Amino acid sequence: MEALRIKAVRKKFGPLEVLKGISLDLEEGDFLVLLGPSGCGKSTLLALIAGLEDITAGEIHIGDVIANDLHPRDRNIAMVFQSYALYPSMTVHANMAFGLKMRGVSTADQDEAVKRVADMLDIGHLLERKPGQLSGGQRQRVAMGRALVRDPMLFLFDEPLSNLDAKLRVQMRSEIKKLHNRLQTTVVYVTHDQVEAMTLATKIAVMQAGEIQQYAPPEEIYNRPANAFVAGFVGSPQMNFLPGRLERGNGDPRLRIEPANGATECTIPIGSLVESSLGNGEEVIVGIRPESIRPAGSSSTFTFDAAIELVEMTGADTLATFILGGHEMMARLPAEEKPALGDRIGLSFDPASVHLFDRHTTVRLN
Amino acid sequence: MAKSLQRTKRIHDWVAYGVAIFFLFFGLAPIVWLIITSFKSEGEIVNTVLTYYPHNPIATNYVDIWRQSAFPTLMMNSLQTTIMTVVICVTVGTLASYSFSQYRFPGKYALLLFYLVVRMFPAVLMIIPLFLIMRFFGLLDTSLGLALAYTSFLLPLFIWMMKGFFDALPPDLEKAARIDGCTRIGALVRVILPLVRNGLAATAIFVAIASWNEYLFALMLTTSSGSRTWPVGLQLMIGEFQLPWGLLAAGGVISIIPVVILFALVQQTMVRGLTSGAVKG
Repeated sequence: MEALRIKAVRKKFGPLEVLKGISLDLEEGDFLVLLGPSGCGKSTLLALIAGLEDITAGEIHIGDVIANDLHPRDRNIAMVFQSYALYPSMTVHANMAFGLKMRGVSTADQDEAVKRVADMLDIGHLLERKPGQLSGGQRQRVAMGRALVRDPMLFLFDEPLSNLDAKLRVQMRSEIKKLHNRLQTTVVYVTHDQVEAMTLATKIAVMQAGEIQQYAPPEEIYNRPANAFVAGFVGSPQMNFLPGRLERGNGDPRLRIEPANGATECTIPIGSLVESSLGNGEEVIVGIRPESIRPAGSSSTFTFDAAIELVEMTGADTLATFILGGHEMMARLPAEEKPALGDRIGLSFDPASVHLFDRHTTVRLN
Repeated sequence: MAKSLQRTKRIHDWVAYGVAIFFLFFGLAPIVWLIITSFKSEGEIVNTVLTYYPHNPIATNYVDIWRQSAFPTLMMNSLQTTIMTVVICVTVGTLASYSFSQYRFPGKYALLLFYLVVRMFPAVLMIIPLFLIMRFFGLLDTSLGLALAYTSFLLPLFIWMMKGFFDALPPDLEKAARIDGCTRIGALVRVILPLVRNGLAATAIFVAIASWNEYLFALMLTTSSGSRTWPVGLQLMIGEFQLPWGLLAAGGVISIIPVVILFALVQQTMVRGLTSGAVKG
């Protein structure tokens, strides 16, 4: 069954159109991540689903009801906020029970539900404290507990991990994942962190400027980004982009990289990478992920020499910046590769791993 | 070198203390003198020889003003007007300042600015129009009319002060409460107000004190003992042929007692409230 269906939803604040026709469907048990840079409209979309803002046009169905005109409390949703938004004047117990109390659940049932969730989240010993007496991680748990207690149709998370330090963020991320695996709840999760998106989601909607750029499972977003924006936004370090031109001479098609700064030209044979509909001389953007570039010598078909401009060690691997055809690029090499600054080393990549985008529309071509 | 620096610092300290003590004296002396006078007999007050403390302290001034004048009625009228003013300001002002702080709506900034502009004109300018309005609505010489007149200048102040407290709250709290099942008003009452109660108390008491002590509007808008407040009543005790200093002083002392008590009760909260609202902290 579909837990959430959004049809052509628009939102305007005055003359400013923040959402320009969003449509997506979400199956029950799915974990949807709305991913995008700040100002892309992802938090506004979440606020519309929650009923905290009015929809300008379009429809939102939650379960099998149209939620457009429903009060937030009647939408059968629960939300976890970036700032946690715990009620400072109430104890943890009262915070968690508040939603049940407002719905007229008996005190005994409230206590039972709070206890069940508190045990699950390991916050049973904090129930009599006030939020001010808790650490950031504990507050985060309580905020999730407050949402879980209600057992709603849809969980909404608004950048819930952004206020935590790096270590705690990774830990809480795994806990959310485990929790979702166990409870199989339906989640809509807003973040600008692509690692959170990739690790948590069963489906990602990449958003920019009020539009969904791509709506697909994480592997597809990563392996087959729909356009240059998605390709550049997902993946770290960012995908390398080069301006190129498709050449269909005699034999296999090739990509001619347009050189910058007076560098020598370079061509990449691409075999059957592109559809035959693409014409000779087509202007494209060539995208190569840093992790696709390996030291030369493996079985790859395209090998080249490049001068190393910068070497950054992360411990797990080595990030090497080099110049190809006058363009700065980055490769993610195994940690044991330790090229020196200024070295010319042999690098290679599989042409099949190349992403091609239209230079003008930035839409994926292969 | 070090010695002269130390000496300069000492001189600076003395000057600073001197200035502080001078202004403290300047502010407190009239009140102290009022209290001293209230315990003097009529003879001692009008004597050509100045006495700095009552040589024969008496309480008759207090007994007389309470028993033989309309002073208790004046106090009750003042109390009634003050309570009405505070109730109106707290009800209307809380809702208004919360909307100003948390919601977007057209004309928001123009309205807020307008409230400030109202404060820039001297009260004297407003009295005649207010008088006409009150007469038109039959509110002249009533406690409610006077309370409404007070809200004309106290409500903007209340809204601006309370807005500071609401601004300091995280906006997600109301959203969380709404998702948990509250209406907007419900969220305000159940979640938001408990958080700003110190500020609310401080602001309400600020309004109460201003309304309790007000003189000019009360003088113009009340004409009988049915609604007259104590500052006006006290002033009217000054007759053509007599000036009952002792009674006036006793009346003055009695009138400031509620203010002193209120302030003592909340002074810590009030100072904390006013500054926390100011610096969003």
